[in-house]
Amino acid sequence: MSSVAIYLESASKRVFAGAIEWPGWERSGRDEDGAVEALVASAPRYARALGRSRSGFVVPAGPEDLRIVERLTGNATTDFGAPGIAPAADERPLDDAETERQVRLLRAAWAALDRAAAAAAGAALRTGPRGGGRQVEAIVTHVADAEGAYLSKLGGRAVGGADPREVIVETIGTRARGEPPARTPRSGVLWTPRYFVRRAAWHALDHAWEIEDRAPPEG
Amino acid sequence: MTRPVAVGVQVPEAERTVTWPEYVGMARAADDVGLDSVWMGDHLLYRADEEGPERGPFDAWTILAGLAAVTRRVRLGPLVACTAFLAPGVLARRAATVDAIADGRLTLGLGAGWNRPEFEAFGLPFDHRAARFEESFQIVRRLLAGERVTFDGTYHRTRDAVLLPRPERLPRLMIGSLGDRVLTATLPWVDAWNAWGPWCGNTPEGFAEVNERITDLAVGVGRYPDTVDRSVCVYAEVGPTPDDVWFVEDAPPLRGSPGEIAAGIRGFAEAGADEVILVLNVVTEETIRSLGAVLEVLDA
Repeated sequence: MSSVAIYLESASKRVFAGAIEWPGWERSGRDEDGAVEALVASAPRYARALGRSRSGFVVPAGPEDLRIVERLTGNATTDFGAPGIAPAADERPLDDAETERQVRLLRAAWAALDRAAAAAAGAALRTGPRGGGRQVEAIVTHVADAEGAYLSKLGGRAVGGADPREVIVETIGTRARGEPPARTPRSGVLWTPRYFVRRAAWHALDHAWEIEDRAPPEG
Repeated sequence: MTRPVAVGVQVPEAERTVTWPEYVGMARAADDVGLDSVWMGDHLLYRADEEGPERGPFDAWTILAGLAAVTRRVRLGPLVACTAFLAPGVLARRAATVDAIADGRLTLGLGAGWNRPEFEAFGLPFDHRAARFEESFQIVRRLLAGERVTFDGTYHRTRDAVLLPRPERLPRLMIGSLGDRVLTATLPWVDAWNAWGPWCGNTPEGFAEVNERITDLAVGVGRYPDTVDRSVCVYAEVGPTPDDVWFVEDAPPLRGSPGEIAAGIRGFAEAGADEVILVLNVVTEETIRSLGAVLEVLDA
């Protein structure tokens, strides 16, 4: 198989590995090797999450199928547990077809979260050794709150009554066309649409998989 | 090229008496030259001591409502609205109304207040300001988010309060504080944090230091720190040196050519600022228009 282009984002406590062309497929470890191993290990799960949107995605056999194209210096967000720096490739403009693909991948990540939340509804998620960890409803709320903050960094704003996910999709389209947001809630440096999708898809999948891993076994 | 940092300007707070036509001229100048935001201090009065001069600006919310109607592009906001001056529900209504007039351009800066003489003069409680602020903040935030709010706090109470007409959107929220308690209460919710220039010596290095603390506090409350915008007020001297220089001594202003001021602004961007709000000496329509040359350098 041809190698998959990835980037590494390293901070003092944590390293993220992420696929340039597959937003949402980013995992972390304590060092570069750990991050790459985690990325490879999550590939089958990522493919399942994409469902019918996985066209072109090939599960790598091992780290040898990955090619590091960029190394980034992380920051406090990286150490906190989120991929906080955009790879240079996320600066590339989006044409209509690629915008549609990015939105499709983001919707697939949202669907994975919705499926995981629905499957675990009413169940008590396993807690950590100290009794910590959010329950399903709190996880879903956390993801929605974070997406509201992400949307602000894209230059959008949730509008009362509208489905926040549709506002996100609309704002991605607006930015992809190079237009300023309809109402500019902030300015200065905004996230690019590609980085927005990367971050939001990662976040939705990260918590979808958290729910799956902490849900009680069936039966 | 994308502007590396948003640039705003504060209209005079209490340096001198400003007439309404002057406010209009300044805000429109900001709109015309491409500034990103216009800010208005929220104070009742300044009273230095028994013999010192008494000064005070017009009511911030009324001025902001007017400026919202006569500008078309710049964002507007109080820098920052003191929650102690109004009942939380009334404050939320003011903000929602200004945001509607501004068609979504309001950033609601909020703070607990600090200027004891104005509290005393107007009979407002100065005690437990952080605790009062925490309660007020939750009511204001929830009302603006469109919730019906029943709240039974120590200092504030509402019963099935709701904003009507319903706000079309939650305005951007910005907290102006350095206090751990206030920051911890607000960082889970706000879009931005603002620092006043003298808090950090009006230097990028000083700002970076304070900014790092905000990052730590954001992490502490479970907020991804890169989703909290960082805003800083920066003293700047443009135009002829004024006779009455009121800048704080240990916070030297940006000054010099447009290129030098742009470089100073860029320094704050490199230190982590998403927005620099210029506090000019002196601030007039003319000096605001002169910032167009600074923006040209910054945008190049």
